[in-house]
Amino acid sequence: MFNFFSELKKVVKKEKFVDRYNIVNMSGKILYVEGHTGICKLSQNQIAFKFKGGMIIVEGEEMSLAELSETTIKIVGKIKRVEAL
Amino acid sequence: MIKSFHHFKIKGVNQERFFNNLSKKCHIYDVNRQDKTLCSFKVEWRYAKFIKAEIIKANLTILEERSSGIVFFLLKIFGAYGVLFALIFCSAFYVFQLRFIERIEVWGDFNIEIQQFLEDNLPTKNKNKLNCDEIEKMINDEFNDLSFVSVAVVGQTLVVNVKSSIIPSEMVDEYAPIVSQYDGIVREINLIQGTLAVEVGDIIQKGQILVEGYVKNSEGEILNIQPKAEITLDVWAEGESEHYSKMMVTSRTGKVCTNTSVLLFGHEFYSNGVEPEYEKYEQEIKSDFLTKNNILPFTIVTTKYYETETKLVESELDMQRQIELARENCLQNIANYEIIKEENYRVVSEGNKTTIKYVITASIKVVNL
Repeated sequence: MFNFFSELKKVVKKEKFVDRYNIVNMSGKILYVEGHTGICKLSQNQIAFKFKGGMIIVEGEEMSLAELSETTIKIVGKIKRVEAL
Repeated sequence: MIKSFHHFKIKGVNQERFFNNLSKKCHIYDVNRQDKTLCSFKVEWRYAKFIKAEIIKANLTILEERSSGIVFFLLKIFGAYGVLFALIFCSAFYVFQLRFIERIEVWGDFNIEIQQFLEDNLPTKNKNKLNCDEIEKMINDEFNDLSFVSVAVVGQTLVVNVKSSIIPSEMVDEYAPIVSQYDGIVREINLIQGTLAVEVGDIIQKGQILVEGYVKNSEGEILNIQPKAEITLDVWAEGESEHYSKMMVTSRTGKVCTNTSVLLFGHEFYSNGVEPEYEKYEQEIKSDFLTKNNILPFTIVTTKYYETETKLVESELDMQRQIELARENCLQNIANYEIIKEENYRVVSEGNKTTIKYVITASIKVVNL
């Protein structure tokens, strides 16, 4: 079965790093994240979550978590900036 | 709406940690942090109890919780024991009552009499135990004038088809005597066949036999024969008219109010509470079944109150008009007269009441050929 992220991993040789997390930003309205390890901050303007070896901060307006599971997050709202630390 | 969720609104600190722990056990939807301490989220309805326990364990306060979705809605309905019991009871009752005859329909002659007879004498209303042949025999035995009886069970209705026996015309009233329809005096008799029961000059009453339907031969034997004769009678009839010079007349003013009530087994179930505020009124009561089944026979009773007023009406006596009225009333009592021989009237006055008594003596021909 075709997997977009698996195909990308085959192209990029640094597989050690690409395994950590995946983020898909859909027109700045929906942000889908795979591979998070826990939420650090949750508010309407800023959402921060950890991944293996770092942290990602999402900034925007009227944001909420449409879905939250052990490894995935779906953020909806007006997404302005995504920063990996 | 289709997917069922349980919605929570919680208050407390360190909610991120709570969500991190919770996300390891189940999916969380629509997490909306409105404030530093306020947050709302949804979980699948089956995790509701577990999540509630987790919230309490995390020292958070539940401000609001509600369920939504079709599964929850169905569970709510079927969880309501009253509704469930009513549904089961009604279904059981419905299935049970299907075994019985609900109503009787009679097609043909004597329908009211046969229906009444069956309602009183039907051996059982259980469809399985009902013997249609037996009922046909019962009806045949009870009603002699029937030539055809058919009984069938259609659904919950007992359908009875009957046809009355056709008697040839020559057998009907063949030897019936000629009977007078009036009070009067016999003036002329022209007997063709039969035996006379009256003579010229006899005073007769209504219903009295004029000609018998038999003859006696020379040996004294009675032979039945159709009576035929032409008999002329002088009959008299009375008619009267009344006039009141002063009379209290009650009439409707046009104001009306309606009271509607719903009854169940004779007890009032609902009423719109309208009571007449009129000093004097007339009422018309109309009752009808609200439903067409026998399970809950609701009856709607509509009572209309019409306001009335009573007035003293004075009128002048028009003697000619009153006499004509009395004559018309009198003539109605002697239809088919041949010649009016004599007519007169009397005027009787009592207080404000005037009565005209009209008497007509007429000649009537009774013909039976």
